[in-house]
Amino acid sequence: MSWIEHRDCPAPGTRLCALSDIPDQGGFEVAFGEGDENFRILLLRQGDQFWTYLNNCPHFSLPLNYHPQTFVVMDAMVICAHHTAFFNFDDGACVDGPCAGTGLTPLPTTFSSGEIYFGQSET
Amino acid sequence: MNARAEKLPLTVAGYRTFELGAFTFTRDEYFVTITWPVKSGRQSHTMSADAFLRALMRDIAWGFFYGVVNFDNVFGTRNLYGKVEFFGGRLNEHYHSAGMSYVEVFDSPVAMKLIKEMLADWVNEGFDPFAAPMETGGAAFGEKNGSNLKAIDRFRVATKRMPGMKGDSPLREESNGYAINRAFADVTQEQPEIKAEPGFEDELHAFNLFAYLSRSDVTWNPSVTSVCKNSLFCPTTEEYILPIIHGNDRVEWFFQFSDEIMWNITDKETGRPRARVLMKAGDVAAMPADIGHQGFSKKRSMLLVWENGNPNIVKMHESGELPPYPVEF
Repeated sequence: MSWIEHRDCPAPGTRLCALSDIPDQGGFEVAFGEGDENFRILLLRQGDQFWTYLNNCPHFSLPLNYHPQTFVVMDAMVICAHHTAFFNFDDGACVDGPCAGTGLTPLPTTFSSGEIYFGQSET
Repeated sequence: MNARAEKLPLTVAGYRTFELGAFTFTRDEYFVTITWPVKSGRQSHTMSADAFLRALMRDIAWGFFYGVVNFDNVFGTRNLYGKVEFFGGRLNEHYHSAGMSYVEVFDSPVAMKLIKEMLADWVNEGFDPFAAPMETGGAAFGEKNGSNLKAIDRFRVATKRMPGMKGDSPLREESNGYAINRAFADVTQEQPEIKAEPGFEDELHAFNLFAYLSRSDVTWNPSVTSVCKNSLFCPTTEEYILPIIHGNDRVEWFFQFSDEIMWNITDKETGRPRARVLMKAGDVAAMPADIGHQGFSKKRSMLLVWENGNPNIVKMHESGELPPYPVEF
């Protein structure tokens, strides 16, 4: 199932958060829906730049964080807390760890006046 | 450079010396020596180099795995999910009660980077820590002799749903580098016939798991072959000794598909012996969440490990909400 078919996927234009909500050199999660299978979005930030991915590690299909809003980061990479897969902030590529060669699923966003909104899928 | 590092040689027998927090790691021609601080000074511990490297390979490949990875009955790591605990003697009641144990917690990526450097430096050309001893011989030993990055960085399968499905990991074939292992020459390679209703061609899938496993190029290294929510089927082929004593933090089901494995079962926190279990082809066992297990397979065998990927289950066991075993008799 593509992420766009997820029952809790927000509508384009839905506000996700302010850029300032994301710790610089860190990650922030915004979730939609209830339960273990809700729609979880991971936002990563470096200065004025940010990147948005599904919060789902391709190794065992788990969220990258173990504790709420606690993301392991190092050298512009986010590291899955479960089994230490390393993902680039800027393209989501898994560059090291048990699922090297795979990657995070990017999600579309728009940015306006310091606020980040869910975007329109191009597919 | 701190006082401890000044006393350590930079290399021994050509191998680099490493430090992680207060732990030191050196290897020589035959052995790896680990030291850690105790009240009376420093405690040292010695392991055979090949056993240490096989265990280190699994800890790296599995990203500190689930729960505890004991390299032997003294040294190991415990995954705290984002952080990792390295311990000397902590899960050995004799070391611990004698005041000879030590625990230090590190950020997982920092520790992972260091132990990957260690493995790359300490594995010689010709030694494959994933292979059975009869396949890789004694190349682990002797003075430093090149490296084997191809073996330790080999591609590891990450599966979304099932190997062979459209857009998912590939099935193992001669053409993508997976030869039939010498122990499984008699395993049929026929694949099931799939007849899907129109429109479901990419949704219905089946493959010959025995054929898939017969082409495994590693030992004691589960890879995912089906993902359904939190259900993870992780089959593997086993020969010689499981290089670690695994102290899982959840119940783990084992299905013995061929041949047999003898398991040593110990108490996870103390290392005390609890049981010996001989699993023969067709046997199923649930390994409780409060034990350590280590298997011995005299002939290469096929084992399906069924993992529960639910990240909340650790806390459910720790809080007592779930018992450490799946069935109440």
